Amino acid sequence: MILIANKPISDASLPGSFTANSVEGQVFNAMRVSTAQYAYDSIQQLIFELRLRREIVNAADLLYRSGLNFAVFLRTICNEVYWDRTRNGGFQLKSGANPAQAIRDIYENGSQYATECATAMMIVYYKALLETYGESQFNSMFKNIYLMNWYITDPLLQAVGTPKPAADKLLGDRGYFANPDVDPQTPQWQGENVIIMPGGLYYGHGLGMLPADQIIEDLNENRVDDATVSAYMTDSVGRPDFKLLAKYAQ
Amino acid sequence: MQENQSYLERVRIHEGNTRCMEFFEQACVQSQRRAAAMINDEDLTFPTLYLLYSSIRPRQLFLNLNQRNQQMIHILTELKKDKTGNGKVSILAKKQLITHSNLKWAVKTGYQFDGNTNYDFAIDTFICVLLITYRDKEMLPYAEHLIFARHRDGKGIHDLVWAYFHHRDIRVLKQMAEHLQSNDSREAELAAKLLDTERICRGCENAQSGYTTYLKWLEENEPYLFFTGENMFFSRRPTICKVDQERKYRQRNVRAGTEEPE
Repeated sequence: MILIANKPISDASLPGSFTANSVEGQVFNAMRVSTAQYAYDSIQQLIFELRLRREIVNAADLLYRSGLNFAVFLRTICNEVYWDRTRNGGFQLKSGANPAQAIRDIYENGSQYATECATAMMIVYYKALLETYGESQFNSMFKNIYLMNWYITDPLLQAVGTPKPAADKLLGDRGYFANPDVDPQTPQWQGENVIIMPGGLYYGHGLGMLPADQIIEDLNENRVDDATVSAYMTDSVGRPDFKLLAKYAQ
Repeated sequence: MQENQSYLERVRIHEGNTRCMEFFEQACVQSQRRAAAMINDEDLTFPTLYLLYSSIRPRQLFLNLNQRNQQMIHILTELKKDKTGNGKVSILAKKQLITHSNLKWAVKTGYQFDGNTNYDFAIDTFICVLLITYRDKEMLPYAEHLIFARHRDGKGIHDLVWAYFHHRDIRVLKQMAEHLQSNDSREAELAAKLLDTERICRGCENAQSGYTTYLKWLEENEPYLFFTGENMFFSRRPTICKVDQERKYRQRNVRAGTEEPE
């Protein structure tokens, strides 16, 4: 159920000009028929969330095609024109570098970068926000980007690092596949962060764009020899604070 | 400690890495057997073996090395080949007494050495394997030391933290809680973050009261605690363990005579 200013949306008509098959349309319908309540102060707030979810999905799809490599934190690499690699394997935006250009560079020169799955999620969020806000506003909001999973995140993005159980898993949510019996030689496969994509697919950096059973199969291949517990998808999802971010939309 | 130092150790520590490597190269030219004997010295440490790896690897002297050094050179070769961290060393997948002993030697003699990224990668891998495959609790203090040392140096700690808490033992929480009262505020903050004490110690005026409050909470809830398996890849503030409120509540009712025991 969707509530706008405490009132349920009366019909199934889509706000804005979204089609039913678009990401926005699919999310809207999932929310509308859900038993959970999705409450907004205004229709603009709802539309902002739908648009940002679409950009998250687009950004995940593009990152998948970017040639970005996979590496554990100790082996990460980045394009030093835009980023400084920190000792813990994170990427710190270089002093004086243009934040929007630096994010775009990851997409355009993906092969010059290598990182693990959670940092890839942060890259997806920054790209989605760049497309949502536009370059000028993005640059004024995110002057000091630090990419390293959820360890140190911008206050505006901290909500994505604290997943919570959710009634619905919606397109653009961050999901998580846990792998309790992971081989200690490959702790990076103790779980896989994914973006929930259309068509029953999940984008997880290092594994690819796959259905859930394939992700579980891939994770299971990285378990200890005497493993007894299969990898599985958790009930929790990570979501940006859409309402907070909507305040900055012009 | 000083008395038991091998000759190569003394050169490395007192004259530096470069001199140690030069000295070893000269020794190899003069006598490979003598060079191998220096490496085989039982008091040699892992950092020195690691430093001399490239001098040992291409030489015939490998065949003159003892079992410990041959195995460690083999493991390092496999680890160094792995550019992304996705590879596996087959020896490390199978439990073997001798591998266990060799890995422990590497960690015990090498955990305090400030090495490069590849060195850290090797030590992290050994600790994870020892703690999880071998369930070797003797490694917990070494992992704990490294978590705080690495954090102080701005290095990554995710895998070490994961392996440290993997034992799902209340004693591990108590041990980590000791750092809540550290004079080093960064150390105390990290311990608070790892133990997720924010809710438990809210309102505590200082580190000492936070520590006391956490220990009381542990004592009160120990029978009802369960480990969640959360980690730093999943959440920015993973909750390592939670209280099973339902069980705790039911138990209290039973104690108070308001509910029949199961």
